[in-house]
Amino acid sequence: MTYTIGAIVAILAAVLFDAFVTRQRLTLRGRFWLAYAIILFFQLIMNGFLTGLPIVSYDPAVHWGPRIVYAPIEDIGFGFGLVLSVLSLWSKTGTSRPKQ
Amino acid sequence: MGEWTYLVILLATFAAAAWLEAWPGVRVLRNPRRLGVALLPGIVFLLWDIVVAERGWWSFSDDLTLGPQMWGLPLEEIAFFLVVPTCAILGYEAVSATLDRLRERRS
Repeated sequence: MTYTIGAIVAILAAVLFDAFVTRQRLTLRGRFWLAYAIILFFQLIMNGFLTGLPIVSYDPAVHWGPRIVYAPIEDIGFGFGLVLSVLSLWSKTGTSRPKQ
Repeated sequence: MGEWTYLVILLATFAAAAWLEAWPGVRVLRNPRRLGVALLPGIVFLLWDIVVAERGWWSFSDDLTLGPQMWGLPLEEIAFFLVVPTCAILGYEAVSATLDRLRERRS
């Protein structure tokens, strides 16, 4: 379950980073969720290859159990944390477009 | 594809998003300094990856990776943390630029 806790921490840390460190609050903006839906679709395809072939093999003892396209469901949490924290920092450094 | 498999998947993923650089209003790859800063949170996820691999919670196929390793990970796995967030930013910028344009047209 340690891997499961790691995924939850990754989600919470990214949400807090976005809200209080970069102060972009992307999680309140529709454009983030629209982009994330597209990113998630491609993530599932890529992760499906990585874990289905398999390039990466998991020790079943450390994750919760449910799998989506071969990958442990926790991978969606880690992916979300990575995508949100990177997009939030990207948004913070942008001056090209006025924020809505 | 054998040992090239992971690298080919990375390149295919990059290709699936890189064309968005030509999308009107998108400037990601042409802004390498801003891109480099935005990728920094990936270091935390890379460290987690190194720890998890060391503890044996996951392992990488020798048959589907080229061989060279760093910090106990195949080089392809390290490149993952450059490629995937870059693709995410390209997607976000394309969505963002499109929504801005639609809004301008409406007003």
